[in-house]
Amino acid sequence: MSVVAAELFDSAFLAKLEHLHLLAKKLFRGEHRAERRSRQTGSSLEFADYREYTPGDELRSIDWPAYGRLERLFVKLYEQEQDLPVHFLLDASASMRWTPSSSGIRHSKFASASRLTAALTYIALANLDRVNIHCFASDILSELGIARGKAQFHSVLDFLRKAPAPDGPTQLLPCVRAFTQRVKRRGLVFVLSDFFDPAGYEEPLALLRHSQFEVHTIQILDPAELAPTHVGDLTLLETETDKSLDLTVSENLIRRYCDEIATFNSSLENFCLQRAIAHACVTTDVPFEDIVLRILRDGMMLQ
Amino acid sequence: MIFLHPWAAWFLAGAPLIVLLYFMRLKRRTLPVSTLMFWQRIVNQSGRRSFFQRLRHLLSLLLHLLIFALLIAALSRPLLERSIQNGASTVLILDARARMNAIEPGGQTRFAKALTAARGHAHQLTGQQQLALIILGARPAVAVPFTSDEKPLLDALNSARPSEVTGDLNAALALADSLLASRKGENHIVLISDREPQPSALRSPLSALNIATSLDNLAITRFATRPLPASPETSELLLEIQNFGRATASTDVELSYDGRLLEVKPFTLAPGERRLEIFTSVPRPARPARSGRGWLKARITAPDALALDNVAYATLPTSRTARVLLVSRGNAFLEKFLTVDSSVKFQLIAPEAWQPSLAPKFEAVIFDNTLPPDFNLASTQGNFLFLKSTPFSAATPLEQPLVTDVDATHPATRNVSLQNVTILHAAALTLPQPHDGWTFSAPLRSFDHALLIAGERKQQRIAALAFDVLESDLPLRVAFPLLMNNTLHWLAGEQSATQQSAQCGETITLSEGQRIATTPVISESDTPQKPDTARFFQPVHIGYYALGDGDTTRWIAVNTFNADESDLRASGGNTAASQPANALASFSNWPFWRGLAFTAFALLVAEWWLFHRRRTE
Repeated sequence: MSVVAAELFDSAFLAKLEHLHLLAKKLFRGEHRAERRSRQTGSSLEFADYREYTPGDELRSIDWPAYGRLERLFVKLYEQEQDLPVHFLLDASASMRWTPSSSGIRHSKFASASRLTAALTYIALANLDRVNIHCFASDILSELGIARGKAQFHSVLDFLRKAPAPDGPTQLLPCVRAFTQRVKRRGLVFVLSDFFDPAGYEEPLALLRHSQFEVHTIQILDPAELAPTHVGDLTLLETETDKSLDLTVSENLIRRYCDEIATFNSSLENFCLQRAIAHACVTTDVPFEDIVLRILRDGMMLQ
Repeated sequence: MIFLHPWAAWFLAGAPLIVLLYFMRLKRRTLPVSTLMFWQRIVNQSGRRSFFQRLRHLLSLLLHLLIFALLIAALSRPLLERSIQNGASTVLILDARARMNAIEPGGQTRFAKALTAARGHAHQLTGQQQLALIILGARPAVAVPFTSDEKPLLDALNSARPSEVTGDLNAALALADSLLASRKGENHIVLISDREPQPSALRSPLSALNIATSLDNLAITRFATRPLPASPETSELLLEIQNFGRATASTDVELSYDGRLLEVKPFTLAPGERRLEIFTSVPRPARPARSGRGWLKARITAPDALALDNVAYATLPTSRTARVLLVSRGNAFLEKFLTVDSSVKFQLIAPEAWQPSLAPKFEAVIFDNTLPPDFNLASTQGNFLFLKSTPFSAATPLEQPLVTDVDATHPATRNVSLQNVTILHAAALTLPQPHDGWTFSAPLRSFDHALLIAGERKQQRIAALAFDVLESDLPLRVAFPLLMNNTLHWLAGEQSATQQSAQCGETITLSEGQRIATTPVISESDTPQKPDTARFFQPVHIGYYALGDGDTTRWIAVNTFNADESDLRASGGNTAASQPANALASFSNWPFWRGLAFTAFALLVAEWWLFHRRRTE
């Protein structure tokens, strides 16, 4: 994560991040008072509702103009502004760490995902939200723990730097199941992955929604995955499973591969759209600032 | 179907190598990828495609093996049996005319280059191809009849030499065409020459292989001698030289006589110019001898492409001493003439001493105003000249006859002017009818009467003068020694014009008793061959040929003297490189092996294309 520290978080960029907020359509119950609306009624200035007076309520909360019109006593309720639980499910599988041999200085997908996580975490911490990060592959590998306040940002960076590098395949469903069982307080969930799970992404994402989480998905891909260039007699070796496939890759086959992955991406996007899941697809060759300030805002994840 | 080169099947042993190389080529590169999910889906989506994928591997290998098999099949030269039964025949015409001696810029003669090309054709012979060789010299001659065997062809080519004659190419083409007329299958004529042939109607296709380039040349095109009419002891010499070049040429012409340099004359000739030069007063040799053969030689000193026409040979006319017997009671004029004439050696006897047996010992017998009583024209031997008293005399004499007709073409009266000769008396001779093998003519007449009768049969001649020379003013005239000399030499058997020269390739007809050497000599130091050939002879090399006539030997100079042979500018044009290397007749216009090779090539291109399109893998 030295890359993150050195390249991402210069003062100018951080200043830009501080003006952003994570978007959440749902209202979640927070734990501490903060700046984000919640289902709790409290003492903020935002009017929330009326209820009939019951003995014991403070007299100053009675809405006297309403009593003048209706001759009944109503108490004004105000929204309670609380913090938002924000969870990051970061794919740390081998496929995320793969880089094509001809990519040169391009970062791996995991590096890009880590940088995005760090940036989003910073935005959340700056807005007094509570942040937790879960690295997963075939299971949840590590968890940051609850972090709140910008002071915790260094611990976030340390966590990301020390993220494990397993060899196992991506298995979203068991990870999500474990996540939903482990996390009691619902909130916003960012899933950063390539979603290359042979078992599929549909059930895990549906489980998250069913568990009352608001889900944001960020698909991270390498350009070489979208449009491979190698042709000829090849033995394709999968980095996650060490499986191999002998294939003579022709231009025709590449065209069919591109069609296949485009179909996959399109179906993921449609799936998210149909289920009101914010979705963004980024590639590692796009400038990071462009991802944060344009793509994620366009994807209705930031404001 | 049979295979002309069955040994090519041995190459099939290389097929495993093809398979080995193929599988070595299939070594794959390992490429790490993030996931095989999508690749696997593509493979799983179409099990049929994976089958074709494997099939394509097999197809690629099969293509390689098929190409290999086709190439071997093409190499083995398969032929259909029908083609083999008919075969293919080629007539190779090798030009060996004089101009093929020209030296090309590479240092080789044209003939050597032609031989190389001809050997190339001979090497290409196969068992079903037959080749006949015609060498075109003075006449086209079949050197080797149709054969499939390379050896006799190469032997004939190795022994072939360029001639020094000109020849008729059309005759060679006609001969080749007639040779091929009865041959079945594919026929072809191949001409290896130094220039393109004229278009001619031939039944068989003709391929001309031009091995020459255009060259400049200086040539002697005429070189001849003749005795001066006024002085037979002296000859004049004619020399013609021509520039067959594209630039002005200068040279010296050396004229030598019996090896001794007579004169050196410079010439400068414009392109295409022909110069005629006459040298007078070349002395005539008294008689041929070993040290003096009467050889004249002209030589161009400037070197050029064709050395053959830079030298020309000629001989000076020689005279033979005639032995003459004079039977006379005394004739001062006649005796004086016979004494001073160096070409005559005579003996004088009285008429009483005459014996018929003396006649064969002399070339001519002169009866001066006397006639042997038992003289019988039918049975007599020898040659005779009768003066006044002749076997043809009539009873009535002619008084002061005038000479009205002189046959200038007859050897006896050649160059003789008898006008205004005064004759006192003459016998009225009547030209006899032919009898006993004799034929008669009257080269000298006085109106209807013959003044001179000349008779001839086989090797015997007779002449009869109708008047006594003492009864005329003839002895006081120049015509007298000429008439006597001509008549005596005609009686002695000399031809009117002895052949002194011939053109190379020209047939020389020999008289009975004459023989000629078949090998020429060109230098005074050469030992001449003994004359051995009788009747006919056709010289094909330039030089001096010894002609034996009885006890004497004279020389015939033979030269090429042909402007067509000396003109080397017309060569060139299509060079050998532009001609097909193999013009032998093949079994069909599109041989089977070519089809196989073409198919192999097409498959190779297809495989290459498929490989780069990744269709075969």
